[in-house]
Amino acid sequence: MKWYLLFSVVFSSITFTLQAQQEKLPVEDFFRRPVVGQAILSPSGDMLVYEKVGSVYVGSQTVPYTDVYGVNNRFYIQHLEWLSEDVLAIQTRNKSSGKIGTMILELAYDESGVTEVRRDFIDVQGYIVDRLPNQPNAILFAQYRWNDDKVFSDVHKYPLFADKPYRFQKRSKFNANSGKIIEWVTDQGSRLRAGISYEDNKPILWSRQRESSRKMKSIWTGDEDTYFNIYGVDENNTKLWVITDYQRDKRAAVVFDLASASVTEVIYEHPERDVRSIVMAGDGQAPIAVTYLEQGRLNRYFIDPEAQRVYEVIAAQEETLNHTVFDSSADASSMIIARYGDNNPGQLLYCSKYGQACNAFESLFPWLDDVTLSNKVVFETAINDQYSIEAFLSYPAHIDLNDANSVPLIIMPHGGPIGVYDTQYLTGDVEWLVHNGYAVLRVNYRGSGGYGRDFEQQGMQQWGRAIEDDINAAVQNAFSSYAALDQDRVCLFGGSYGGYSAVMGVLREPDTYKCAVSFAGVMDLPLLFNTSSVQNNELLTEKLKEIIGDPSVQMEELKSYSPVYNAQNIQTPIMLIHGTKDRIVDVEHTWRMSHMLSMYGIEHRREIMRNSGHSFTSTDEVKQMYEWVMPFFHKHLKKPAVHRTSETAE
Amino acid sequence: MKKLVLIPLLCALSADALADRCDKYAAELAADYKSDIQALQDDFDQSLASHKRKYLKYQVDPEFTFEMVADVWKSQFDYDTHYQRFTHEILAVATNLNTDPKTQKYCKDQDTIENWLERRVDTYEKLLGRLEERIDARVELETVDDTQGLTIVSAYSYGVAPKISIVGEGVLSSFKIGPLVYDQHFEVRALDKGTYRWDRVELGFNGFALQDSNIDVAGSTSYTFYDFTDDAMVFTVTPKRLNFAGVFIFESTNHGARADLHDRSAISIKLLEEQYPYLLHRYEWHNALMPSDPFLSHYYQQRYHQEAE
Repeated sequence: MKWYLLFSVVFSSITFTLQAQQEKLPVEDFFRRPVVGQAILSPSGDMLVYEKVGSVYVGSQTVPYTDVYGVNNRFYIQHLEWLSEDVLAIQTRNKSSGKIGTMILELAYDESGVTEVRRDFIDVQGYIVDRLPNQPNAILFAQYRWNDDKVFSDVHKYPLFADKPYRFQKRSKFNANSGKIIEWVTDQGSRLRAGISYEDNKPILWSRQRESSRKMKSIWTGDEDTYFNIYGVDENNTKLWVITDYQRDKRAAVVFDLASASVTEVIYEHPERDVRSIVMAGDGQAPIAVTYLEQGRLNRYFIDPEAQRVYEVIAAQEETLNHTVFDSSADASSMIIARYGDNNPGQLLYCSKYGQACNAFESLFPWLDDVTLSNKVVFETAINDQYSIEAFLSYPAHIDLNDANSVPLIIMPHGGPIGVYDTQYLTGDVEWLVHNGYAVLRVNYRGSGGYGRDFEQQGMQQWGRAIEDDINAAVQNAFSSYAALDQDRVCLFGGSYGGYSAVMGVLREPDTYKCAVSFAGVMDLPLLFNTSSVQNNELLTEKLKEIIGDPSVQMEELKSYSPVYNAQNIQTPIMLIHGTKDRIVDVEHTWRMSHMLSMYGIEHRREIMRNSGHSFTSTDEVKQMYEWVMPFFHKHLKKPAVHRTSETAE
Repeated sequence: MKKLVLIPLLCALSADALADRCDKYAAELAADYKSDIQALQDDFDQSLASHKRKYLKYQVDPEFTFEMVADVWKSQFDYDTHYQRFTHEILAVATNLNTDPKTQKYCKDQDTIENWLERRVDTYEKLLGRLEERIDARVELETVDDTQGLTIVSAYSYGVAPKISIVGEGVLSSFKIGPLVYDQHFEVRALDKGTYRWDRVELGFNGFALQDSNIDVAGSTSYTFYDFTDDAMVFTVTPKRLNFAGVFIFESTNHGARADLHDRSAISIKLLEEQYPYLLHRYEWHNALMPSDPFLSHYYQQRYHQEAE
């Protein structure tokens, strides 16, 4: 089941805002996590479990929601899974060590609530492969193992609630001849049917050799970086439901035939977008829909007409809002739905009776429930005969886009640059800036993910070149389309590649931008290769060469597109922020740039964040950064004072 | 520092008598403190004189006097401020014990004030010791021969790294630095030409760095270290060059430890300018970690208008 993936995609990216005229919220409020992390229906769809701020609640339309389990702040709930109608698996993860533990609870329900009957704990790292519906006292559990720096997994039949603790011994494993399979898939009879291992970034598909044997054999190998994600096995155990981009430009939902080891049917493909996921029915026995991003929001194509009908019934109840299915019972009679919109921070609904009875059981961001969110528009800009790029403009709700020069603009290029992308599900950064009266423009330039391999390829070795052309094109398009954007008050702000892009932006277009802020920005392209861990990792080095260029043969080219070697041309105020524990873009990048700027006597701000990494892990870090950034933007984006001279009428 | 004799039965005496006695006590206390500090200062000055003789004997660049070199380190250690504090301000606290309302209470609590002054003397002794050590090490760099290169040895530890060993090709080429506890190490060393490897972080016996100490280890004496041999964190020293050898970053985690060697020329330049300004131009700059990195020569050319290599 891939519900939790869908869940995290939506929730990890939603943040919300207020109108500028409303009372100012602290910056932390825009970066707090949603209250609910996961929500899953029981196999029948009658019971619901969800995680809320480290506590696990179970209930239904008739059973009051009851707190059945909780973790302290050293752990978080990683995964919830129903093993049967009354047995629940809760996987926890230690925040510092990363260690996973699996708690199994047997529950009893009555009209007063939920009580725990007994519990079991699996103290090895791994995941549940199959809940063995026909054997209620056991599950298939894959134990992670490490060998020669490779992670793989062995499957064990774990007895639930046994008197004697189960020992995960090598000789008791359930799989055989399975190489370095990391991801296991069972069929509808709960037998190990397929598995995936990886070698040199190529996925290798394994399949059961014979029905009578647990031995696996590798039947297919993808190309380097082929995406291959299995969602289920058909009832005849001959076909897999898969999302892959194998020998195709865009990821599609396909049927993969085990006998011929080939794709035999395309369930759904989108002409311009990668398919993101297959939504399986609650029992995992059939796909009911596929999802893809369109205009920066999750859209869906229904395979199961009944599920579509129920969804439409639910969506019709609030037509102005967006609805995302988080989970569904096998017959689609019950669903968990996330409902949200531009002016709605989001609620979770538990819908039963085929969508006729929906109850909101939790707000996702209750501290933002009474606030107005930013307005957003999506627009496209043609960059060549083949492609146009998507861009997202967010702006304060009180702004009329036709009201000339009424709002300053901050352009936020995303990181990556390859394979990363922005969506309409706004980030805390965007909403905080909008909350402070700025419009924010984000561009899915060439190289961004979600638009197919060729689009990604077009961004390769285009640092400071075509990628920046795309951003510029989108900016000019925005200026010509939306008069409200004040062309004399524009700054750039980004992290990682976005930080690089911000500085390259002011190098390339010094007259367009009033300032630039780089967080953890790349400033010296050859330097990205110069740590021992990169030098000793052949695969990573080759990948970096593909994305950036090869310093051994393209050094002058890399220098010419590195801010450090062009620092003397900086004419625009810039701020450089970097964490000392950044293991992806070393803090040396910022030091080099700062050194060069100082040498040329170019004024700039340099802020070093002690112990911060390539991204933030606490809202304190966010707060610290914005305590530097907001006054900087205010200084450079404030409206110039109007000097009036008195005139005498003649 | 000499322990002063406690004055008995203070509370039974009149206020004037008490004041007189405290004045006398303060005078003795100040005299003792001054004597101790002066002894430390004399030792320090004698050491500097010795280092100066050595510096003058081997001095490479007549433009830079010993005083200039010593002043760099005095500035790094904020020596003038400390000198003022330890020789005057703290002395004044002892001298004015009875006249300053904030310290009068110590007339009746002499153990506390005596211990406090003892700790101040210890602190100053350590400070002068560390300062003298760095000046000594700096003077030693005047004696570098043609088979050696000046090399920036730099590390940072996120966690406890009692000793970090760097292994060279020759028998006498290997050396250790540390301890480092959430702190950085930065020094210029004269190293023999050849290749060096950041080899291991030694936790020592029972996880403590006791191997070179005179402490008897009771019980298990298992020797613990993190081995980074396989990580191939190497640099190659070129003689008669200022070798930028990267920065070794160590981080202890719940599962063990990780380390990486970063090309941090800009950060090294900044620290060089602060700590070794008179070595900046003695030799050509060379990136001993990543010779192909163009930054050093670019920076040098832009700043000093000439090629580094």
